[in-house]
Amino acid sequence: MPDSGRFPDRDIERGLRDLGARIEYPPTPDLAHAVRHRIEEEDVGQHTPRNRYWPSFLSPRWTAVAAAVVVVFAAALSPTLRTTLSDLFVSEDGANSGQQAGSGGSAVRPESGGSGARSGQEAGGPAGRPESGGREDTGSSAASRAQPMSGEESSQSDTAESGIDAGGVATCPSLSLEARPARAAPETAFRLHGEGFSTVCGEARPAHDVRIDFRQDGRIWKLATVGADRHLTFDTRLRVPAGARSGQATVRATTRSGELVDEHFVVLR
Amino acid sequence: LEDAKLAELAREGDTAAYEKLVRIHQTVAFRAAYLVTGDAQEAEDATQEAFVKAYRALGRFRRGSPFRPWLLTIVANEARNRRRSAGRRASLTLRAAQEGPSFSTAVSPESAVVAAERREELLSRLGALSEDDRVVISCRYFLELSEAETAATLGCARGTVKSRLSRALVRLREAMGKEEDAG
Repeated sequence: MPDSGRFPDRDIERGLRDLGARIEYPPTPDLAHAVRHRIEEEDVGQHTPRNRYWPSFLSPRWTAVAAAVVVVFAAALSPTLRTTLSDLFVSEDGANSGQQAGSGGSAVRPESGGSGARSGQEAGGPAGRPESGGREDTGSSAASRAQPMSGEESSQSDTAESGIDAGGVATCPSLSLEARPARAAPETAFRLHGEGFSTVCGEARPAHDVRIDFRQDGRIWKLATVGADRHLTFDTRLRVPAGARSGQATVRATTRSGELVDEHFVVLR
Repeated sequence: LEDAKLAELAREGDTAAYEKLVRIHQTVAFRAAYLVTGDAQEAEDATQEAFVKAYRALGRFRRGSPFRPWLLTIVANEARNRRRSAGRRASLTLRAAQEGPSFSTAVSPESAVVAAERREELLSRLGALSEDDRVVISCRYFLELSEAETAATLGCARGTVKSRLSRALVRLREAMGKEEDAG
């Protein structure tokens, strides 16, 4: 190859090597600890036998997706089931003063028994889940649909039936929250993605002050205050509080107007 | 040898061994992910996820094979997927430290200034290259990956790395030459 100008091949290569030794990268995060924790937690948990011995297409995530697809098709194809579901919603509507959720006209369906929409891994989904969101949720993200709740965990069972919480906060089914990963050790970073965050539920103006809390066993850590973009979404990077203990926790996003949504979270050892 | 031993232990479920393996390779893995995503946070996420996936895939790792290229394949795939799903082009901004080791023999202040200007120019021209060109050059000269490792990171054959690198260097040299002509 012919050389040109003042940078012949060997000079270019030497210059690049020289440059390479001086490149400033972002500091490398210490991932070893977090990776080990994630692996051990998954091994200890219910996923281990599946991951080791089940084919990947039978993983919980894909099973949930498959189940959702089956339900949708069954509902679409079976007049009987359609009627049953329709009746169910109509009766709920009556009981709930005709509240409707989402553009598709599906009703807000509160969780019976007030068991709480906390357990995102459970089938059946949380209360207030919009049926017309146009997006299938699996795994932990299913836990994060908007729910009518006051500031305290215990209040949810009282309020689910009415769709209005004890503090008078209206449900906002368009809200959703997803943490990735939804399991992490203290001080580990995770990403939180929120959708549907407007100043007032259902409006198109983005909320500029969404408070993010990390809640566990009555303790609350304020993690951040974020603003939604023009698509009403936000994406932020947070860290699990150093003082969080291993076990269940909740990440909560609350708008200034009081609408809130929770995401189930597991703190690893 | 160390890698092979740790990988074997990890394959048998020794997470402490895998933690060591992660510690050994996390810097190159993170930097490779950073070169692909152009974003430090995205790179961290991708690297962590890739390490977990690599652990789960250790059963498919061929005994005796070098661990690093195999790992980099997973890291780069994860990084590419994340960048793709984020729907953006990587806009990598590299910076060169003013101080540090140098292959240059220049010692006089004047020579040092010239060398620094030349590095800045090189970096600037590199930044103007296409993403493919920039990544292949970065892998080979900045991360000092072998051809096999670069191939793994780029998801292509070794022969492709050679040809792609050669073309990238030609384009870089042309860009430098144009700068010279313009000057």
